[in-house]
Amino acid sequence: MSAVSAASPPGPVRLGLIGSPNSGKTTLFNALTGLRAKVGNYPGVTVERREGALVLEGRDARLIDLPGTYSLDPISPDEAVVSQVLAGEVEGVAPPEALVIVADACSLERSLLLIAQVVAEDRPTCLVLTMMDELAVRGGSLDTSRLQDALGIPVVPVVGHKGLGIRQLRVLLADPEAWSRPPVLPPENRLEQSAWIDSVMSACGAERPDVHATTERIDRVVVHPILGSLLFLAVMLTFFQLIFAWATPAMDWIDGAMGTAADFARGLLPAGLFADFVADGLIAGVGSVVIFLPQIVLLFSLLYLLEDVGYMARAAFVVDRAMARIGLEGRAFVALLSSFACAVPGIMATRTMPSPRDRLVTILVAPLMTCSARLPVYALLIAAFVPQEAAWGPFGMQGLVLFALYIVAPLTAMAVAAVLRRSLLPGEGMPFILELPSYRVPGLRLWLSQVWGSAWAFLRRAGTIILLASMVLWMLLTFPRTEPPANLGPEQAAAYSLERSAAGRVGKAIEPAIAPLGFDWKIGVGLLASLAAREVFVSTLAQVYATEDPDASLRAAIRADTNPVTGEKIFSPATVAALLTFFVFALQCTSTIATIARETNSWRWPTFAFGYMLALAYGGALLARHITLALT
Amino acid sequence: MKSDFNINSEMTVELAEMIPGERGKVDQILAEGPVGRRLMDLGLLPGTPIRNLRESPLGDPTVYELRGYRLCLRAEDAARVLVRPEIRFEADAVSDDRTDDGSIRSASAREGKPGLRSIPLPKKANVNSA
Repeated sequence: MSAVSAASPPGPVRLGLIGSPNSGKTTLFNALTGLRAKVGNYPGVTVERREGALVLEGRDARLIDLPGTYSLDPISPDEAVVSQVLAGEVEGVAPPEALVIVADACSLERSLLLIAQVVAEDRPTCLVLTMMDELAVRGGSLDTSRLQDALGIPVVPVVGHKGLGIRQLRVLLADPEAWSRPPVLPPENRLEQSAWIDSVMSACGAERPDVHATTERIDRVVVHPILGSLLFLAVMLTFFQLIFAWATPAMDWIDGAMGTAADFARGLLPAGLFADFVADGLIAGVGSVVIFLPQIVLLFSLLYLLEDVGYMARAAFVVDRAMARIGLEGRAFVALLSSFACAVPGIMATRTMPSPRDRLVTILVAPLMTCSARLPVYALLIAAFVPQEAAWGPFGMQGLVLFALYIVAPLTAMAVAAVLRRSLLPGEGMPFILELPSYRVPGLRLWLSQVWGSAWAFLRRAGTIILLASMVLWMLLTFPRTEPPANLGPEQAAAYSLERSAAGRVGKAIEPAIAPLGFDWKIGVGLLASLAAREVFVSTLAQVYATEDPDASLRAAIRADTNPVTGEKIFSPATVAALLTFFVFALQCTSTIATIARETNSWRWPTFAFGYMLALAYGGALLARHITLALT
Repeated sequence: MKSDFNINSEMTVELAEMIPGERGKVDQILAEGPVGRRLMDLGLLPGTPIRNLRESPLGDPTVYELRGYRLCLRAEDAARVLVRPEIRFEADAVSDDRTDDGSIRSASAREGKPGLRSIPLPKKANVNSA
């Protein structure tokens, strides 16, 4: 076969990569393109679009990684992407000139259905067989040259993670015009296809592989009723620990480094607005993006490691029944658990879920999980207003309140998931599908590229929005700039400026709306600022109350604050109950909003999430206030 | 090991009624429309040999082996597939329970003790003693 045929059209040749989930398609895509893939979304759906540029034998080519699918016969809008791309119906995506089918050699018999459909498209097509090594281990065999004759298209065996066969494949891919074409196309009727599959299988002398013996031995422990459940709990605890505790040192370090950088910038620049912008707007904004990286990198390192080994499918298998109760599936569990630390990595972890609707429901309820950014707010209010006395046996009142706050949110999330499932996002009525792949030793290269890919996707896509939003918030808190009277101390001066800033004015403007909850304009400013991140509520209150120390003196200041008209305490028990409840439910987090926008590829869903959570927060706070008023 | 089926049953049961270790062949897909198409896309075509490998610790879903791969299905979906179970059982890598009397293990077995996988079957008249 000549490397470049004389009749090659100008411009890069476009190759479409098609295969079922778990076929080794991603590994092959990475092996062929390296890390130079462009990642985007197909218009209107949540399906990720990946395209890689490569040079094959001196010829430019584009490899289009089509979403994994079992069939060209779509049953959902997201699945329809594959057939739409093939038909050239997707705006901005030229249809591929040639198709590369990827199939796991062990389950070739299953993949032949998809192969029949793709070959029937009648354009240059070749078949790449992955995992030939596993086929041999499992006592199966097939003759690839006889398979090639039976199908009438080129067949290349590869071992993607070891790079075997990749060179031959590159030579083949360089010249799709020369690929053999089948004399007769496969049948399109399913039952005829079944007979066609049988004839192809016998024509290539295929021996059906036995179950993978090592996998069976491991599975006896891993999905054992007792041992399997214990292992599941241990793995999930590790996930939780990883992002809740082990990411903290790196996050503290980033926090400190950003503080140092801000001080350094202040030292270099003349004091004034520009120095404030660089230190408090720009550097703090970058910090608010980078601070998520330790959690994201750690979460995805473990997630993809376990995914590549084959454990994540088992974890979903173990927990699926429990998740089915709330209308979700096993793969949602890790995402929801991770959201207890932070909804941003949690929402990104839903990428492993194949059903777009299940994924969307999971994304929409993930921000309700009690994330760690709520803790400083809870800590301030509980320490300031909940008595330290013992309440019930050895349990103190403060601990019980914190426990209640932690537990109410996930219970609500379950209810919301169940409601969304029944109303807005009913199930497709489609079968729950989960494959348990054979265990394998993961490839370092694939693993690193997956972890890097998710970190980069976060920085480039959500990070830009977070940076922008935090700078806008800084401007709201700074402008219009009012020079404080000269006789004020630095804390009083900051409070004076903040009250007259846009944020202060908005806080006063929304006071009538939040007054039913017992909130005044100062809490309003805090709520507004906490959109940057919930814990900012604490530092903003410290600024509003002109306190130096956000712990002890802020607690004293908010305890003492009274309404200038009525003379009543602002932070009455009813207000505190309402405020805590508000923070349980409200989506006070621009980073989460940005991540939802990017992962769902629309502003409709983040708006919906913000709206329903605000309604829950307001309603819940109102209820909490009136219950507390009735009780005290 | 090559599959060594010895189908002598004329009766069909729902796939969901097979118990761990049991083998059979797909007879018919009960669902129509997209659901039926999807089940067929997964390789559940009439005549396909299938085996129940094991259940999840919580009893559902169940993982089946067919066409060289492992597929988990929930009971509600597996109920849409009719299979012709094989009567003869072999000890193999997956299941070490066997029956000598040709009794069929039914779905009711999974409500019982985990160790007691084989009970003489009562619920459906799908025993074939031929």
